[in-house]
Amino acid sequence: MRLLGATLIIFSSSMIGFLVAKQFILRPKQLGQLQTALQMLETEISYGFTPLPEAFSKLSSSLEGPIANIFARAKEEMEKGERAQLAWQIAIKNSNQETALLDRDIEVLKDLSHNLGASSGYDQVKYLNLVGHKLESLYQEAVEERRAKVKLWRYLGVLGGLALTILIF
Amino acid sequence: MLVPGIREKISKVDNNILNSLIEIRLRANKPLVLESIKGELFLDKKGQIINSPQRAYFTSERDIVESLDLMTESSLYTLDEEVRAGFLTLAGGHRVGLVGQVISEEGKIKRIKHISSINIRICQEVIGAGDKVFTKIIAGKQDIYNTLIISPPRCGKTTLIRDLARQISDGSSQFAFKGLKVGVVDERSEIGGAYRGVNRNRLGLRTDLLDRCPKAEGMMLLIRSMSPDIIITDEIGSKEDVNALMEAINAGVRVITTVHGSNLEDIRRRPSLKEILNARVFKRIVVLSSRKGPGTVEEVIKG
Repeated sequence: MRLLGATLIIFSSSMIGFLVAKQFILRPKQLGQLQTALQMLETEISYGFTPLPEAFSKLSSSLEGPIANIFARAKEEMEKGERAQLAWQIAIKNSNQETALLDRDIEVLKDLSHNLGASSGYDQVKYLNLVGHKLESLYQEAVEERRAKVKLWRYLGVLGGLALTILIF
Repeated sequence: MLVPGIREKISKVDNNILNSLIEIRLRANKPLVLESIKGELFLDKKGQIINSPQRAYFTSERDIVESLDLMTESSLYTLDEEVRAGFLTLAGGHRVGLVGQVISEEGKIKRIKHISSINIRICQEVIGAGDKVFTKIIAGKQDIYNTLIISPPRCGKTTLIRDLARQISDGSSQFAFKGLKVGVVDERSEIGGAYRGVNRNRLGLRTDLLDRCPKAEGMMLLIRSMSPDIIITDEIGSKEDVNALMEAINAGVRVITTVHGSNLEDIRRRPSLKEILNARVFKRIVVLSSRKGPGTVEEVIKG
């Protein structure tokens, strides 16, 4: 019985540790995906002259996971007759929970909506580049954090469980 | 295509008046103006027609930006060329003129940003607008006369040549007129109201449309590649236009074209047009006015 309880405690606390660590792994991955997405969007805008709804649907099908969902949602909203800027904000708001992104990442994404679509191709590309740079620095930071924290949280989970068992018994 | 706020106001206007609308003007921080055949109308916040501009609904900058978003699927960047030319064409053939802050390079307009005014010209496709003139310009069963249409702005000259294009191209069983191949050079997308190159207005089944093409070059291109019987184009004015027109006539193509002015004397005074008038190539000269509403035919002069 004791053995079962101890295993249970260690198992669940390790799981918590792994889950937290997983967030640190997912964040840089998703930020990276976003960077790719913006680069693709830039190409669609400057070379393809693709209208936004179509560009969004292309992006959502070539990406995966929660990031693809953001673009899919934005496209849906636009098809309902929403303007791109609002559609983008709604999409981010609704996808926020699914992603591993932090509030400061989301803020940068919201910035994107300021003049989404509503200027010349030249201006759009410049603006996308600016947002891209911001994402890049967040990405670097996220990578740094991953290195420092993934192992920490995994150990913390397992060892915390062990410590707790020892204390109880 | 307009922001819901403005759409709502306009939809409350009486249908008869709506049908007579020519333009809708949105200017930043200025009253919303509807231009009808009878003159301009102001709307108050509830969509009632009022006389004084002071109490009218004032268009906000937001209204303009958001309307543009709706017109372009939030993708203004796909229309860089159009914005540079100062207008875009909506799916219904309606034309939207834009002005704002211009960014120029080497004396040419590079971009327009911060768009401050938009003017929506409602496309009036009037089937049968050319009936009266059509009978005057046909020469037998399969030929027409070279025709010049003189008209002040907004007297229906574009509506007229659009309908003429349709009738000449389709042919008319009433006058036993066989349809001819028509080439239309539509520099400002007004005749065909083309959206992505395909005309939205009826131009007839034997019509080839060259959309947004400079007139002079366009006429030459049509002659080279589409072998039209007739070339129809709007608003000639420059020396190049006139030269191209002469070239077309010399190539055996009939032409129908329009020019701004109120009567023949006006036109004779313009140096670039004097020559072509003196050459007596136009066998029919039609003068329009809006005396009894747009499209009133004042006179048809035989040249």
